Parts: sequence; structure tokens; C-alpha cells
Amino acid sequence: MRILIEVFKDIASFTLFTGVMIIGFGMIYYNQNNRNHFSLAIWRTYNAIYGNQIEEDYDTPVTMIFNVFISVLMNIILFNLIISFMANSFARVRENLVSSDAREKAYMLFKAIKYSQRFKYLDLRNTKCLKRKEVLEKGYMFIMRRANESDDIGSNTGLEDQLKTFSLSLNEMSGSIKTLEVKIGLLLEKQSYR
Amino acid sequence: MKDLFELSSDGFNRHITALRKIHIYPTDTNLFHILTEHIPTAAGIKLCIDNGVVFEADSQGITPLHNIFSHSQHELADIIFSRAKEVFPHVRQQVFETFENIFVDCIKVDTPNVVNFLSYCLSSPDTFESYPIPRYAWMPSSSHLFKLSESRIFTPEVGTKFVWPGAELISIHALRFKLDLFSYSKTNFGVLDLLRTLKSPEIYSSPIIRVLLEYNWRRAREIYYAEAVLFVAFAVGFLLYASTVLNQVFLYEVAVFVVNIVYAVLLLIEQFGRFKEYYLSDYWAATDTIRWVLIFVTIIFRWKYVDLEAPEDDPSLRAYNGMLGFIILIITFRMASYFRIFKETSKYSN
Repeated sequence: MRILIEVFKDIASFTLFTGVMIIGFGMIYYNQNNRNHFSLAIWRTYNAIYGNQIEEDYDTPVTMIFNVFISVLMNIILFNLIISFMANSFARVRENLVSSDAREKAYMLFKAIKYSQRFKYLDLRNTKCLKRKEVLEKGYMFIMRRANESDDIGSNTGLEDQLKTFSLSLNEMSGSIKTLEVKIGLLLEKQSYR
Repeated sequence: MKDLFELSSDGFNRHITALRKIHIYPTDTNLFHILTEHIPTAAGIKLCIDNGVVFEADSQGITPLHNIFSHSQHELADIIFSRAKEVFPHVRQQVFETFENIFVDCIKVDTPNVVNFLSYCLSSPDTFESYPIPRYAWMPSSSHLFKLSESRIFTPEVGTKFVWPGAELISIHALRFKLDLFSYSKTNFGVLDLLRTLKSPEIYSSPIIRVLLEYNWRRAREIYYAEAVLFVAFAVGFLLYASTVLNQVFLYEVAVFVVNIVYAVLLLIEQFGRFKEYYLSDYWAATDTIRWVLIFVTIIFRWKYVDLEAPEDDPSLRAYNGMLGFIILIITFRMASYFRIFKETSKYSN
């Protein structure tokens, strides 16, 4: 949807230019047809731009020349122009996808909280379900991820944190080894008693 | 102090260098506090950072950032954020705890440098409430990789539930200050309000912001799911009305009309209620308004002027069909808009 909106914004100037061209060429055909049916002349020019030409309209040498103009100017140049416009808009939207999505979601959340009391009930219901009223009070926020994931958390969480995690896991492993040693010792003792 | 700032730049620099280790008792303020509180200037802040003046909290828990925000000079905070690498690595945990009150102001700075600052607000904790934090967890292979939670999940009783066959080493990061996550709280609502209009797209990529949004979204999404289901039901009902012989059944027409009245009333409450000031900037709200007005006009037009048995080229019948087509177009776009509610913002949540 965002792409459509961006494309429509971008092609505003293109649409204006195309409109001017249609009216211009439409006037030419209107004059060539002895000033009959202006709206029909415009409609046929519009069709001609998109390749739907009616041969009867181009029976005089002058209109044939203009037909060549329409083919080159409209069909080739303008179509390529609009394709490049759309490609550009699409690339821009893709580039800002994270931020535009987040903006939209923030807006929806803001609206949900500001507009309705339902959010309040959801908060209360969550609290009731968890049976801990302090859950929704002030608290630290935790982010958990695989230790070997690529680091996009921030500049503060580089090698130092990895080493910290590694040393903690080593500590835990050494703790388990000690427990294992104790268990093996107990087993050996049992064996020796037997 | 006033005399100090009336000195030439060379003299000022010399004095600042001489005073860089000043520490005033009993308020526990240093040069950074004094400069940001009394004469907050970019030059003063740069000099403090250049001279290695420590970023500290005073006895009241006030940091230079608090002083800057109290003067509403967010551009000066940007200078500190731009040099976060020099300022924040040495800042103590107790100082970070004081950022709880200025978190909204920090986001309000709205420059790419805010991301630098936010990255220092995360750290790898060793313990939580004196309990060791579990370092192994079972991670499902789906896209929902990570657990966003309140602190309760990391107590040993709950923490050990994660450890079962297939558990792997995990890395846990915690925000270094507490946040009030209640939906109406100043922090939560303030941040959401700001996030609607921030100009720097980089801020939205910050894990803290993504997780905060996702956390709120998990709580609010039921509202939008319900709204989407209701709208789809209404859309299907209207499409049936527009494309089948149901438009000849008076009772069905009345039902569509009544449902549309309910929709219109709800939207009007929204429009003239608490959401008034934002309603006009919401293009979906505008299309909703056009939709319900058009549906009323179409149905009333049908009752008054259109004979469904008339020949196909009857102008009233053609106008009626045209209006129906336009309403279906608007409904289709609106239905497409509901796809956005199924997209997650952060992979750091489960």
C-alpha cells in the first residue's frame, strides 16, 4: 500500500505532463475532424497513447505524421519514464521499509491507546492472567537471541559481551563438571563398599 | 561562573582545562553539570568531552543530559550522542538508571546519533535480582526466535523451563534502566507518540525501539484482529449485495444499511472524540468516511430512483452500478490495508 501511495505521489508530475500532451494532441485531432466531438477526440488520443489506435483517425497525411509523434513520444519515451519512476519509488520504499512499517505500527498503537479504553482492559486482563500486579509496573526490558547470531544489537555489545557470555558458559560447564565429579566419586565409593 | 563565560575563547579553554576535575560537595556536581545547567552551549559540551570530564549523576540523580533537556535544547544532547563512544563506555550503571525519566526526551532528539546512545543503554547482565540468568535456551526454528518478556521469566523457576534437549547458548541483553510499560504511562505513550513522526529512519532499526513496539503490538493486536474480522465480514456482505440478486431483497438491503449506520456512528465517535486532532491526517479514516457516506447515498438512491428491472442502458441503473463499483474499489483497498497487522516488527520477541 505504501508503494502505491509513493508511486502515485511520484507520478503526479508525469500525469500532469501526460494530461497536457493528451489535450494538445486531442486539439489537433479535433481541428482535423472539423471541430466535431471534442471529448471523443480526447478519448481517442488517450487510447492512441496506450497503443489502441483506430486507423480511421489517421487517414490524412497530417494526422499520420502526428501518429508517428504519438508513437515515439508517448509510447516509447513516456512509458520508459513512468517505469523508471516506479522502479525508483519501489527502491525508496524498500529502503525505508523498516522505518515506514514501524511508523505505521506506532500510529496504530497510539490510536488504539488514545482512542479506546479497550487497551486499558487488555492491560488489566494481562495483569489478571499473570496473577502478578507488578508485571506491568516499571521493569527492565530483556532481549534474548542466539549467541552466534550476527551482531546488530549495537556497538556496546561486541567482543566484550561475547567473551562475557563465553566465560559464563564456561563457569556453568565447570559447575556441571564438578557436580559430575562428585557423582562419579559417590558412585566409586558405593562400588568400593560393595 | 558568569565571569568565566565572558572570557575570550582561549581564556575560556584554559579555565575549563584547569577546572575539569572540579567536584562540588555536597551536591556532587562537576563541570559538565555546571556548564549544562547555567550556560548550555555546544562549545562548553565539546570542551567537557574533549577534556574527559566524567559524565556523572549528582546527588539528586541529575545528569548533564537532564539539565540539557530541562532547557529543551535537544540539539545539545545530539552533540553528546554523536560522541557516545567517548562519553558512555565509562558511565556507571547507577547513572544509566537515572535515564528512566528522560528516555522520551532522548528519542525526541531525532537524529541518527540517538542510535549510538541507545546501543550503550543495552548491556549483558550477569544476574537478575541476585539470581544467575540462564544462558541456555531452547530456540524454535521458526522466525519467532526470541523471547521478549518482563523480568519474571528469568527467575530460576521459570528460567529452567527453557533448558531441555536442543538448548543452545543464548545471549541476553537488558536495558540498563527501568521502563514503565503500562500502556498509558508517560514513557510508553510518549515514545509511541514520538515514533509516529520521527524523521530519522535509523532510530526505528534500534533493537530497543523494535522490541518496545513489538511488545505493545502484542498487547494491542487483538483490537486490530477483531476490527479486521468485522470489516472482512462486512465487506463480504456488501460484495454479495453488490454482485448478486441480494440487492433485490429488501431485508438484506436494510441489514446492509443498518450495519453501515453502526460503522458510521463508530467512526463519528472516533472522529469527534478523543482522536479528533489526528483524524484528518489519517488517510484510511478519510477513505472510511467516503465509504460510509457513499453507501448511504447509493442505497437511498437505489430506493428512490433505480428500478432493477429496467433495461441495462437505463441511466439511473448505470449510475447505481457505477457507485457500487466505486464502493467496492474503496473496500478492496481497505481490506488490503489490514495485511499490515500481520507483520511483526521485531524478531526479538516470541
